Amino acid sequence: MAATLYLTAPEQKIFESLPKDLQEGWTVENEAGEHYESVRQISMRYQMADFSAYPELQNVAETLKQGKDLSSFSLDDFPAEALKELFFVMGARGVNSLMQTLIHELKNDADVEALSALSTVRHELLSINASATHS
Amino acid sequence: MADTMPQPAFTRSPAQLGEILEKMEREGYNLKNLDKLDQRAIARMQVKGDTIGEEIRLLKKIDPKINGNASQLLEDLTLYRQENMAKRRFSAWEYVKSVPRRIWGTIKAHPKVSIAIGIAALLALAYFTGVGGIVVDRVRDYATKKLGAAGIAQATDAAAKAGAEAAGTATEAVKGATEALRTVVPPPPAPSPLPTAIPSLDEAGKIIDALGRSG
Repeated sequence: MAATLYLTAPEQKIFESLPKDLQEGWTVENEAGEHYESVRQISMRYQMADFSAYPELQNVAETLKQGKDLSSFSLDDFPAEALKELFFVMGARGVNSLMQTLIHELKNDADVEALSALSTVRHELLSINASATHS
Repeated sequence: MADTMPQPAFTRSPAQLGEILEKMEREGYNLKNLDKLDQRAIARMQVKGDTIGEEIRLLKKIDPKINGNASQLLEDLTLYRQENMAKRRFSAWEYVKSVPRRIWGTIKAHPKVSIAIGIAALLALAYFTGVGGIVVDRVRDYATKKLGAAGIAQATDAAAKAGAEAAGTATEAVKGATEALRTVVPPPPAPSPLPTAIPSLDEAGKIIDALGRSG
């Protein structure tokens, strides 16, 4: 997997303030994308979402309905296709906000890997948004 | 909270919008011009009495019930087509599959992020499963219990520290989500309606509050 982080200028400053050993081995690319979704776009995506093929996700909803604890909930429980559906529904702005939370909690290489994965998803969504609205 | 939650103001469900687009294509309309069609039609409709453009006639032929909401329908058709194409492109992207599962599992070690993703999943699922208000209530209870006001405030602060653009995005998103909550269309036959929310921790707390107020 490419060791790339797509970070905005403010995010790069935060990353550069991390211990040097955490920064090693990563290539930081500037995230200049600005095509975050409008509320209408996100609304449409929610209504277009289809989780019928993913009983794992429906089980989460059922667990919540019953008022049970969700502490065992984890992204790695879900099939990759379900994650893709979820990321598309969230949009770049949703993934962006997840990154804003995670970037302040980076403690080891695995955390940076997770940030890299999220940054790549955000980068792709911004790219798709840009081409969709300017085609 | 009532189960009859408000829903963003789309004139038709995504499935119905897709059917209309298919019919337009069968009628020989070039859908690549849809966004331009949208603008032209809206401009014409702004001129009093002049609502018989080519596009409107075509839409009325396809769906005689559109009457006065042709402009809104055109906007929705444009948006649906755009998002449908974006979804297809994102679905064809192989990266998410290539990420080792342990990396997504790493996020579990960060409860705030994990819970935020959970909230996103649950709100999206609520559309799909039709459990509406029940899930919204449970999400609010769960987020409050797990994060508390302090946790949500901390996350908001983190977003602000990440830069003005991040904070601006969050503020705009919350504003937009709140606005979306106030809009209503007749209930579609399939999934029951649920408010739009931006799925992130810093935004989720405010959105959940807004959901509570709207109920």
